[in-house]
Amino acid sequence: MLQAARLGKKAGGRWLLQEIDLCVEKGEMVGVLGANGSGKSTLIRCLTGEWKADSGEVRLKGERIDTYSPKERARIVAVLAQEPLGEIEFTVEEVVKMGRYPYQSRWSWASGRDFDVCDSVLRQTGLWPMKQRQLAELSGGERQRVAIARTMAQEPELLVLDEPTTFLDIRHQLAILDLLKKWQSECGLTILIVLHDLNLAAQYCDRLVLLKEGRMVTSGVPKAVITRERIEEAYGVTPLLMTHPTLHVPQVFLQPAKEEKK
Amino acid sequence: MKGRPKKLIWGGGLFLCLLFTFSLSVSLGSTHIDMMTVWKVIGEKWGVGNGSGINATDAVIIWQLRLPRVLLVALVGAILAIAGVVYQGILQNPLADPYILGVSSGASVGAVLAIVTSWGAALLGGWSLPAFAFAGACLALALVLMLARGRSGLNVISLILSGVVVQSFFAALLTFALSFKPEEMQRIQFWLMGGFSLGDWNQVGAVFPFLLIGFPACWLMSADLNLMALGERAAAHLGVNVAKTRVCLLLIASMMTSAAVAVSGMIGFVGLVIPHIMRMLTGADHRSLLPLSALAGAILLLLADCLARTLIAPAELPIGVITSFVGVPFFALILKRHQRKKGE
Repeated sequence: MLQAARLGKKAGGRWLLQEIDLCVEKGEMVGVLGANGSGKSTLIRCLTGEWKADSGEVRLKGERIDTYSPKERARIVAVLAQEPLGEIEFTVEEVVKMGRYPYQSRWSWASGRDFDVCDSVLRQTGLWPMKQRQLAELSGGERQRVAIARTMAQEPELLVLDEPTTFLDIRHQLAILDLLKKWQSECGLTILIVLHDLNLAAQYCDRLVLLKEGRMVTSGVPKAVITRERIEEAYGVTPLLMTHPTLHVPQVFLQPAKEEKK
Repeated sequence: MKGRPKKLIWGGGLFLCLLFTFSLSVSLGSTHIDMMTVWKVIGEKWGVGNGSGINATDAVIIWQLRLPRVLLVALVGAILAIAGVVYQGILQNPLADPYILGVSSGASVGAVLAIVTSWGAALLGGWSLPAFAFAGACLALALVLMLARGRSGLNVISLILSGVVVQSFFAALLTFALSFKPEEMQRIQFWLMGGFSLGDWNQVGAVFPFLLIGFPACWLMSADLNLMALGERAAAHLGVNVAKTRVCLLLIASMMTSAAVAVSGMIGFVGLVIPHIMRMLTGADHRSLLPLSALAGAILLLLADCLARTLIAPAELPIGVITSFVGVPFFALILKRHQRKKGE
């Protein structure tokens, strides 16, 4: 679905990203992990074609990503950026309909299919009862659900999310991730997601990629990536690891720094 | 009531309201002419009706003096409101407006330059005034955007500050021109506060094409404008060519503004007040916001013009005075609301 080969990005003479080789297969959910400033957001911007890479290349469905027109690309890749939706004066339904933009030409606005897709998305995400509400009236969690519904209306094959759960409480975090997981299993959607929470990443992702200072430390199934050595290397903290009692994936426990003995 | 029917009712209501203010505006003046006569004269000129019972003097007053002026007011009002919607949408700035951004002052300087120096008159003929105004408008907008663009993109307040600075500079240029040509005082004063006392059919003909082309052009891009409200990154990810859309719409809005300024001088705050009111009443969807704002802009400026003509009759107030009296408190209100939202 998406391949990056020897991807690099430079800014102000410094490499933000270097030698990234990454392959996301159709239908899998890949998590990107790393400390602050490790290049996660830069990687996302390069992989979605928002920024042009300074070395290497990104291929989407076998074609170089810069050969797609913006609308063609938007029909394949949907992106949910880090910034939450602002307090704009649109209704929930209007925002979700904006997801249909890549399918509409300048001369004809909305077709019957656009309405059908939006209706089904609104029902699936549980937003149907509040579709006429103004976005500004909604809570942060509800607004994020609207943002995800908008990307669903885009009917993408690949969904890229940059920390979609950062501003949410645990209930809404789980709700969003469950929604994504359901969408992945039902429609064969491919998901690339940046997550801060290692435990959630281990629970939901099929594969993980761990970044440090713009380079890839390791990648693979959660068991192979979330190990004491790798976490120590990437984050500089020493974790305790246990296996999740029901999901059997590694879970990280943090501990306060020990006082040094005199 | 929700969605489409509500917007259609608003559209119809505003249209009727426009017809009414239009006839009111034509009938007001030193000789009062009732509204029926106004429409009879228009009907006769269009070949509908036989013009019976119309006083010949009234017909001349209406057709030669008042009608072109009133049409011009309505056109300029619609243009300024559309430009305001576009600037606010593209710059994602609730306080943007052709006047506050300094675009109007740039266009004024261009226009005055064309008049005072008569440069380009040989080459461009009658188009030299709007062409110079457009050049001035683009220069002002480019300066403002250059000044305001910081590391984190366009900040609301720094954009307004840049607008103020650029506007003061162009106002100084106008005064500078004034001191060289004291005999042009009257005309230059007119550019500073705006006015329609020189309105005639030629000017109506000069401005109308800009609305006729500019409005559909903006309207066709209304879906893109909607997406820009989500933020530039989100719009780009949805397939909007952000750079192209921005340049196109800014150029169209500036061209429409300069056409309006070329015939009426600097009139502030119409482009600020109207989009806000219409957004509050009917929502932010630009497909309806653009046409409804155009109607409402025409109505507001017609009413302002009525006041400007009647308050100190037989003398006339510059119309910019009236719109500023309405617009400045409104500006303060939006600024306060914006600060509360951002917690500044």
